[in-house]
Amino acid sequence: MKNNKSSSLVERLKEMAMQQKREAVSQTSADSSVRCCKNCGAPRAKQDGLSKCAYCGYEFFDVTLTQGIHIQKEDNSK
Amino acid sequence: MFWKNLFSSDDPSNQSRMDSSDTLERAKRFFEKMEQRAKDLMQEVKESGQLIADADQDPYKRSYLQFKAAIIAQFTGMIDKGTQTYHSQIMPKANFATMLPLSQLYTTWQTNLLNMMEESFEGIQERNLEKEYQEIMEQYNQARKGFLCKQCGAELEIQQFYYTASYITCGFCQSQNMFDPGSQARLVEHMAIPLARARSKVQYENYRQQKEAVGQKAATPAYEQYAQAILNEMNKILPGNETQNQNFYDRLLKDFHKFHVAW
Amino acid sequence: MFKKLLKNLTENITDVAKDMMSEKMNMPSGDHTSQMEGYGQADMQKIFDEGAASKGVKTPNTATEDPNDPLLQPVHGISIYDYAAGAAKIGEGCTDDEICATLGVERPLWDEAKTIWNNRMRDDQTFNVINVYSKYFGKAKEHEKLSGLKAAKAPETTVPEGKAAETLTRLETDKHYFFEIQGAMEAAYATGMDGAQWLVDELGLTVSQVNNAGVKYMNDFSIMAEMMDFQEQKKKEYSERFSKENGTSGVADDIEF
Repeated sequence: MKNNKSSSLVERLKEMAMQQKREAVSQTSADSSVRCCKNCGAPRAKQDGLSKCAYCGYEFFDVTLTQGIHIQKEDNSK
Repeated sequence: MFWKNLFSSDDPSNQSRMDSSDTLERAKRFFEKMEQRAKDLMQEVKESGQLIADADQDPYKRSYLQFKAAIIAQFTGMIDKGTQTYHSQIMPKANFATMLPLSQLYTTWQTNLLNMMEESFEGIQERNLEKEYQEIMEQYNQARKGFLCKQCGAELEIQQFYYTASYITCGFCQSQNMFDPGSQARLVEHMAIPLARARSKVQYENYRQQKEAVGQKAATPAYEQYAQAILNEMNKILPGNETQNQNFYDRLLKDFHKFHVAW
Repeated sequence: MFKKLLKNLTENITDVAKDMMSEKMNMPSGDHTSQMEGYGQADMQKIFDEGAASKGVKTPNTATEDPNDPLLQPVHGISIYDYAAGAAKIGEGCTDDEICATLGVERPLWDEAKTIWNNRMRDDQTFNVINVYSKYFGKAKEHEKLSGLKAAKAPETTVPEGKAAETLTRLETDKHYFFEIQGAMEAAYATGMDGAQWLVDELGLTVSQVNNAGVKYMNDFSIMAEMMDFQEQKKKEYSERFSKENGTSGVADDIEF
């Protein structure tokens, strides 16, 4: 025989959990982009590294890359 | 005279024996009722738990976890109540004859409740990781075919699975494109360990059997095989992460030796 | 108590609950203060630090920041302070892209840094990295670049911004209020609510903001020991209130000895 106390509690907890309002988790699709130099408009080529524009020296970022997962020290511009 | 007094109902020590046997009976009834209520709760959870887990569409399963946390709190609340009652109302009424049976009654009861708390959620699959993973990978493999280099328009080859934003070099113009795998693919990083463990169940069971048969220390090679199986799976799920995954493997073994094999 | 605090980070809810229960059951009463007094005049933080050290484990007090420690080196120029402050800001509702723009790095760098910092904390048996992280998490307000960052899209709440800011200040300065809210959050989860959402609805703050405000309390074992009973008391009070409001009282409340 179903115990009423337990079954009504579990029903109530289930109701609260399933009807809980929360901030929606933002979902984004796969995407790609290219970042070009702000000064001269040149894109970044693999052999020139990621941090500086090979043509005018503009700094895309001023941090030094380390041995990461796909990004390596060699990706620092010279 | 001594025997007459021992069995006399006017004797105060006789009164206290009656009180304490009454206490034992009351304690039995109390713990029985508490245990039955816990059993009822466990039954209800076993019937509803999987439905709730399956119905929860939140990527972090927060609704199911909210439900689970409240149920756990119900069990711990009952254990608390029983413990408080035992210490503050039952034991003060015990004498040397009833102390041991009362203590055993309480210990058995609380072990049973802890077991019921665990059993309530046994077999409930919070999420089907393998299914989720396969769906994400299918979506990813579909999506990555359509990318073009944003500089020259040539097809951008995304050769492997990326779970983080990454630089992809265009094979034609050498431009560095920034590829974002999307929010679903990013979830894989957090699924990797539980999924790898789930895929290594055979090795885990083998370790458990070895441990039962020859003890924890002698079962070390079996545990190492289990850890290696997890590592192999993690390397498949997160390519390029081999160094990181190796560190996790090293930690598993260090913890095993530190916390389980003390000598 | 030490065992609970040194728990493996991947342990699940039921195992943690079971351990907490077995600790409680070994204590004759709910009054923890008397247990602490039983240690005499001993400095609880010192006892905890020494207990942890004997297991080769660091605490917030004993964590070290050796500039040559390979586990504390920046990842693509992103230091542990950058990462921790970034995590605090994400907890406030900032996006990863907002963090990147403010730090002046690109998303692939930030993503790899997050993974590597997370993994360092996961794999460090001494708990040093996580303790250093925790310290900087609590100092997000002082971070040179990130301190001023405000989320473009903060969690929805009816609590006015000014009131939320006042509450945040109160959490930082009023120890009792901080532990009361910790107890309230625990009570919310225990009675079937989403504690994190309750904080947003009631205080206009996220869990991350609340916990950030009290890092100095959470990292001080003496304060934690001192406030344990108070938090437990507040948890009981809020549990009674929430369970009445929601109809989720204890399933065995009617059973008496």
